[in-house]
Amino acid sequence: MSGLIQMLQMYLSHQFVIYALVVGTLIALCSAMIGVTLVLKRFSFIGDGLSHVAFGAMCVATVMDLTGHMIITMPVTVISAVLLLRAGGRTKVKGDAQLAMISVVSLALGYLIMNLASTSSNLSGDVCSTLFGSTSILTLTSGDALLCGILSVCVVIAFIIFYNKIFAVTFDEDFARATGVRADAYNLAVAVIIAVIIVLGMSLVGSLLISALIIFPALAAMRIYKTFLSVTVCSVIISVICAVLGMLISICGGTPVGATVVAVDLVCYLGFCLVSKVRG
Amino acid sequence: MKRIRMMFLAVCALVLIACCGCGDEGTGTSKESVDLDLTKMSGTAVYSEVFNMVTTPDDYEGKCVKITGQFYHGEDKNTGEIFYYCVIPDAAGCCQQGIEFVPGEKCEYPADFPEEGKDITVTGIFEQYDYEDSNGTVKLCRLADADMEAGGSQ
Repeated sequence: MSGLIQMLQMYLSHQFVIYALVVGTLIALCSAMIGVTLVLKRFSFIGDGLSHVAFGAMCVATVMDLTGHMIITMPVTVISAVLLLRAGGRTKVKGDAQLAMISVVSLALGYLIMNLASTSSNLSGDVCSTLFGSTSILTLTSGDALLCGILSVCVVIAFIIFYNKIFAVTFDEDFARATGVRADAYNLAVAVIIAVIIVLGMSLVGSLLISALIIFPALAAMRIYKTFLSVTVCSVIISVICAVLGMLISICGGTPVGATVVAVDLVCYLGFCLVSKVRG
Repeated sequence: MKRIRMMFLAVCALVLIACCGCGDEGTGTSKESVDLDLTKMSGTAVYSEVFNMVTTPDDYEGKCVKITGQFYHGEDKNTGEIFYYCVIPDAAGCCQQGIEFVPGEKCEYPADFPEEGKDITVTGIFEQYDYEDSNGTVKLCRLADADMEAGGSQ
């Protein structure tokens, strides 16, 4: 035990580990909060689709040699989220087909652009790292960490302030609209929050695994708790604990960060399923 | 509301505990005291630390660094100068980070060096230097006055 504590103290003396733990905790917190809304509105796969759009935007930013990828990635992902979540039934191509189309096109075009125009000496490695988040969270600069921190805090504050309205549009949008709630505006806010969280979450678990960060904590919490508030709080606690545990296991054990965090989320979800079955 | 407050306090406590681990990484510039011993860290952490060394070299200037990786060499075809590298792959094996080192003692390649791809442990002083290539002057970093041992410490 003392050996484990000494090892943790050794790693915690490195700045990049501190940045990773703080930013990873905030990202996990934000993802879990909005994950409950997404799962209840049956938009679980939106995270996957938007992360692929973000990947495509990031490829364009890389090819343009922009040091700050978020300057392109964030606006493109936000616009895509707004179009996907607000267009709804008013388009010729519906719901899941629309999402699938945008998702695969972004992934394919992004990788094609990288192959044709990138100056990276290890293209496959860069793409693999972005897709699976093997070390992205451990290579944050102080500027990246500060930006992620500020955005995460903004998301948390927005969620807490608009909690009641988000609750209303999640469970019964028509009733909320009938009682005077500006459902369209709050749906737009939710879309923007989702996009911000997706772009931030890519640095923790990568593009392909971001959905796990959003849905697993919510699904685990729903096995035990039944009210919106209790599910949200439980989901946040699960997500933060799993993210921190996953990062520490990855750092100490030499495993890819993204996959390890998702594996811990899965174990936690299975544990909650077991508890739910035992309780009956 | 009480649960949200408890959750918020728990997150703050976690962040504070993490920050308590921040320590002085050492300021020595001699090889007697190693400031950054990467041989005791996992592959993931080593890859990340070397990435940070290459991207924010000012934070590591003058520090004594000990690192284990695979030996590779390269040659400038214009000048014939040979460069030596210690390369570390990440956990997935798809990415690599490397750092150049300059042996402290006079060494001849290939007689005094291991085969390409073999594990080596290098201890040297991190420094930045200017290098002239066909595109002009670029700032690179390396481990100067380095001691080299065949085999890994990890």
